[in-house]
Amino acid sequence: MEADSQQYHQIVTDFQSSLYAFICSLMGGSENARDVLQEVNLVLWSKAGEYDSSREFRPWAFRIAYLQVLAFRRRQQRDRLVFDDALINTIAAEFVDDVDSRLAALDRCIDGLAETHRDLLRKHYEEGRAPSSIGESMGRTANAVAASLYRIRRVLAECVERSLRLEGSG
Amino acid sequence: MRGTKFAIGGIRVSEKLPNSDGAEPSGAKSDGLRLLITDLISGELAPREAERLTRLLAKDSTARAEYQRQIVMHAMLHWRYGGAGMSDQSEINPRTILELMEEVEEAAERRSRQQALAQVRQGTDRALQQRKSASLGRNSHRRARAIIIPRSVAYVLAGSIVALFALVIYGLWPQPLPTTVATVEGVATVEDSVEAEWRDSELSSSPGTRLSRGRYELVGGILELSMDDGAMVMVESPAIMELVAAGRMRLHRGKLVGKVPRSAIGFVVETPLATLVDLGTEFGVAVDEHDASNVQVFDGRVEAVIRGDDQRVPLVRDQAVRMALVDGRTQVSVVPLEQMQFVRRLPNREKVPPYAAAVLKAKPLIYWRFEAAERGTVKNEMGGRFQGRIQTSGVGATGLRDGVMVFEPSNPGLVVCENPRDLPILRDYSVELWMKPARQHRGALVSMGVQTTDVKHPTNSGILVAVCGPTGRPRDLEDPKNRPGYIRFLHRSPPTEDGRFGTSCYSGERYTAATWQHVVAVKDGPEMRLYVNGQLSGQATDASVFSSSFCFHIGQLYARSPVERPFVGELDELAVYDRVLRADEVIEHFELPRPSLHRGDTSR
Repeated sequence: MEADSQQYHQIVTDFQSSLYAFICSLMGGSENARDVLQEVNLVLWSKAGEYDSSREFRPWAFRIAYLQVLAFRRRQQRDRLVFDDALINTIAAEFVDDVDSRLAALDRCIDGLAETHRDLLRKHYEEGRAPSSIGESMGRTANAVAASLYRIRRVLAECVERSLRLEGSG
Repeated sequence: MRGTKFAIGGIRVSEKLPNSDGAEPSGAKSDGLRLLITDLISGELAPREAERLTRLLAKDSTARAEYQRQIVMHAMLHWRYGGAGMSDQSEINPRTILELMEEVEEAAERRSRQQALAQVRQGTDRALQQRKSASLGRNSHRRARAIIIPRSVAYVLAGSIVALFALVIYGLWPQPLPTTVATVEGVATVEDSVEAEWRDSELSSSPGTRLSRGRYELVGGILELSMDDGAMVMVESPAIMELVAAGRMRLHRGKLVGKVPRSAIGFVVETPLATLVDLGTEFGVAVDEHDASNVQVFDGRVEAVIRGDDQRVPLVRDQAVRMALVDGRTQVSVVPLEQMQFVRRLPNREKVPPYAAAVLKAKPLIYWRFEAAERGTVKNEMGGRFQGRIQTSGVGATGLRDGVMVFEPSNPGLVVCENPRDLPILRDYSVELWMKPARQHRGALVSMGVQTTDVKHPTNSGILVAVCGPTGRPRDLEDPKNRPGYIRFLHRSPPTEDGRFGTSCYSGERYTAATWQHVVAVKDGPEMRLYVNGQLSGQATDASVFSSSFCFHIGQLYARSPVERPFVGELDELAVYDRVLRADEVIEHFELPRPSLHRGDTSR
């Protein structure tokens, strides 16, 4: 029983980054995603006894996350929301979960960026500074900073996809 | 590759759009989608635009693919950089389930509070009255939870929260409390102290001493207080402070460092010129005799509300400002971060050996003692950042043994500094360590540089401390830069792998195999100095400075394959400073016994 519990703990831990990305994808951003992930973890733990280890964990965990996002949506004021239930359903169905392997490749891709771009990522994602705040210190508009971040995400996504393809073929 | 231009905010931004598997929506539609996704991720998508985006994504699978690519990368970057408390998520311990439940309850509570906040903003006068009456009636150890806000939400709402605090706190700087300690209930407890001495000699500074509201003058030593709201405060003498409430204090003179856990977000330090509102962080404040103050944020966020006007200064990690009165007005200027200015940790004298206490007192940025590794991580004794990750091939005994880092020849390993991008090594720096090379060989002890995409040379070296040995190449025998048997300290700015650049400072004496030796490399302006066993052993001159941040590791030349110049032997008590370690400090450190000595190693 103890071994089962440890195994379950490990699986839930291993899926944290995937669940987080999935939740962000359904919610249209990272705001409140952490709170929802906490709720999903809580449900996963409360349902540990119901988990059938002969079946794949991923669809089960994603289903719980999907339901939690919808529950969160119902609790929110409508004007704070982005997507409707139908679109959330479509996005969930199309979500490709290989976040773990992507994260492993991401570091190498970040290292390949220019220092100014790494600095921009650090300011935004590590320090939590908004594009407007970063822009003020760099003499750029918030829109220009946001556009740079968009471009960097694009370049990184392509680099990660390329790395995965190379690994797959090698 | 194809390129387009599109206008954003009046500035033309060049944007190269790769043809990724033909999945890229094109032209004006692509630009429109990009702007919608950008606004969505920035949290600035207007309701009408949200409807537009929903319609677009619902009908266009290519647009959805682009959306997924952006949003998943956004989430991964959040995860990778640990922003918004992501590091808390990396490990879920089943034993923390109760805490988890509490957090979920708090999250629900917070969400309803967000709505309440909007109402509060409409009635600031009412809020002022409520805060006043709340502070009069407060008698609980835990402060009201109305200020517990998750970091992610705090970023968005910081402005409005501080506006609220500004209104309720500004103007409440009352007449100083009497010097005599009031006899009302305590608001803080002394956790620990080092040679602390109060002006009031009858007052104790022993751990467990309760302190009531009132004014205190610390004339000697350092004192660590835990406020009843959960904030920890380190006060350095000489200091004059007032404890106002469980979550609020005033600093009239001297220095303090506040460490504020999530449960105590909203902790307030009032200085003569400003009110500092903490949003979950570690920060330092120093107030001088002219009432000017320096504020530094080591981690998290702080908002400074300038007294006398409505100016609010948001501060994030690694930012520092000075506030001073000029012509009757408070001027705020950005100043360089000085890590040395504040004592952030109190050494535990019973547990910390004298050598380690001396190094801690010298305030390095990184201090790896190699006492123990938790899940392969070597702790930085100076705080959470810059921990070391042990990387080995898993074969052989490279790793920690008896409190030292052992590098075995059969398993070249290394210890890589985590999150080193913030390492502020620019002009002056020092590297200090104890080493015991197994034999004479060519091995890198400490390597700092810039990562490259070059497979053969993945690191451009900027700083290197190494032992020299035979290279095995006949041509190197004639190379004056190759001095087998000596210690080399290289400074190379800008970092490169081109051996023609940079300056090497060599030890005057050969190092000794199988013996512990104390090595300190110092860059002092243009001067390079190398100390071995407390003695100045080599000098050189190089006026160049660094302008970029480094990756940092020990045990090999490169942070990843190929294995180059692996160090073989033992390494201990590594410290990296962003300042000059003075000669008297070098001698003091050398003369103190290396802490791992008592574990049976008699070679020092």
